Amino acid sequence: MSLAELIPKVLIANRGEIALRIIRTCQKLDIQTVAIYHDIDRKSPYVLCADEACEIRGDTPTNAYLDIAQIVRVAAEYDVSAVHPGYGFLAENSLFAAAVAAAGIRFVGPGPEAIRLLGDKVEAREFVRQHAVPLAPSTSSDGSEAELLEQAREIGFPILIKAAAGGGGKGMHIVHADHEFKSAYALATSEAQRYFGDPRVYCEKYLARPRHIEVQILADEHGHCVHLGERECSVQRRFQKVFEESPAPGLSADLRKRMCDTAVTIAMAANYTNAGTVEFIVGEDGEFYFLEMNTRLQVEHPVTEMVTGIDLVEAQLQVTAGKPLAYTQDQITHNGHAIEMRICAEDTEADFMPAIGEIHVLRDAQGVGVRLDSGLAEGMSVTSAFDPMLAKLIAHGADRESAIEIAHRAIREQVILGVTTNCGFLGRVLAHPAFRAGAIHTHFIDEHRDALRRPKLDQNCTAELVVMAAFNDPEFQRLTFDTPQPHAAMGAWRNA
Amino acid sequence: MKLNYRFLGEEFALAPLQRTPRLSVSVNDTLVHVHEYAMGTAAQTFLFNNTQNEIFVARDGDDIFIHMNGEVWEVRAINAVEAAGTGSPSNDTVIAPMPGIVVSAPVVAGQEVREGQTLIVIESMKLQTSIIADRDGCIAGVFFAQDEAFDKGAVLMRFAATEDPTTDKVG
Repeated sequence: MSLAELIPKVLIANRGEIALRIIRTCQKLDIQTVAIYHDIDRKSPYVLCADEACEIRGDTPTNAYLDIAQIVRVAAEYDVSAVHPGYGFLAENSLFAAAVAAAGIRFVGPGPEAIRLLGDKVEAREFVRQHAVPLAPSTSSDGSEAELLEQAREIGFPILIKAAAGGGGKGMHIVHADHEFKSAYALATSEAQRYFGDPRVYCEKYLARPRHIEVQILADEHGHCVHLGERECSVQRRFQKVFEESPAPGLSADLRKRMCDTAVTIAMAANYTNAGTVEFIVGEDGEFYFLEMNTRLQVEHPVTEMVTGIDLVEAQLQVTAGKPLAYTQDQITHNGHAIEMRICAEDTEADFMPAIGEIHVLRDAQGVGVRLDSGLAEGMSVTSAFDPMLAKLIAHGADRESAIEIAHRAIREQVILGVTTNCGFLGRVLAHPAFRAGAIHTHFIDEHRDALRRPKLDQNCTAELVVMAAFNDPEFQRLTFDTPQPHAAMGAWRNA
Repeated sequence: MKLNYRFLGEEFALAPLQRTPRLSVSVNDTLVHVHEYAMGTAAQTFLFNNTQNEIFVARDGDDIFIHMNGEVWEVRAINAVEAAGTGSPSNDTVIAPMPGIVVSAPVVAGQEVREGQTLIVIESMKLQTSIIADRDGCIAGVFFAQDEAFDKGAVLMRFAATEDPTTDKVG
């Protein structure tokens, strides 16, 4: 039976670029799609591209996308055969996976039990420890504040306080010395409560210049599990990834194999099915430690797709339909190098503060080796209701050097006007000699902060920019071109 | 007359000085010569003394965004805000009071209009509004056609200047 016969219709419990990306694969497979949207997203491309769309409500837009009962009800009403959660929102909520299953609908992801086990960071660490997976020194999450501090002292500062139920960099705080612990602990527990509904935190040894490297795995319901290689995600700000690439630059074949094998071991031990990602940190000494496992499709999955040629959403649907994996480990090959840039509405000159506005002009980068996963359209408003990530620009080249060249050309070509974005900043990172040399770690942006600032303009360039702006000001047009000729101010190309 | 702009925290006073043989603008104490220019709605090209700039531009009210060489710059017009709506007697421009689209534009360039005549019908936020001539005069230009969208503050049409009705072409 074809996939479309097994799963004729999918509801996408998400929005924006990831909803559109999932719809694209469904269209390729002749699977019908149902989008859900809050009123604020009514005119978004993903809503327009889906075969059917249903409005959902909530006291805030985010709460609409987090409303398990409402979304499951819509899924049943529209008679869908599966629900794809995307990433974020309910993607790692075991109650949602269970509610979908209870309604007789397939959940595109692992079972609720695996989500619950791996979603609790402390429980997940205990689980992998039993399977001899290396862990950075850490505390438990059960003790009082005083007990946690005592354990943190034994590990030795600096330490990182993390939410037990957390992820995505939320609720994480560095503590360099004893006296910083109390306030960081208070902040971390309150953030953990707010973001995850669970105030438990734990402390972990903070490595000086670590790299963040993760392994993509795929597992079916027939006991097969493969890895699709690694992704380097070290260039981050506020503990959130900005650049991702595959393969990781400079990773030895031995270390790569050990990390990938470890990821498969963890997935097999957890009876994991579907797509998942095992995250590691790699110290300067080349040792690696388990960080966490994400039980969903990752934001950065396109880089793996670009180098392996495997459509991960299609693979997820195949597993969900109960089919065996279409490939063995030996059949998975890696071709070239891929880099993803996360385009965010934020002001990189103002400590990456999120920005809002209306998109007046949008010109998407194109060309050989360029992929854009975007949910944007001209006229769309970027509001403060959601995460500031707008789109992902992915470049694929024969090797890292050519992938960087393609990425650099593409990001300079990408035009988004009306809302402040980090596009210029992304271009500056790509041009930085340390990035080009592969000398990256999780503090790369902090370490090179000054070099990555927007370049200063000279006096002439400044004056010319103001003149070009003025040419687009109706007042200046009126003053300068008092001619009544229509479109005179629009000026046809003129030879002086 | 000078117009003022704010860019990177500094203020710049601009005055167009001459239009031939090339357009020259004084920017504070710097003189900028615009040798050639081509302005599409978003994609524009400017040739200055030594540089040719391929840019993309968007305007949001007084804010003008320019994408150039992979960086975006924001310039703000800080001139006294004109009263939105129909052009006042002292003003030859008809400015859009809000963003919208043109429903109909019954008047063409070169046409004589009478006070009270409908110049253009626009639709904004699902409401149709007629913009009425507030004086007699000759329409010099109509800048948006039926179904075209415009932003708040866009110049929809322009009266010929009463004191100098001759046409002086640029471009």
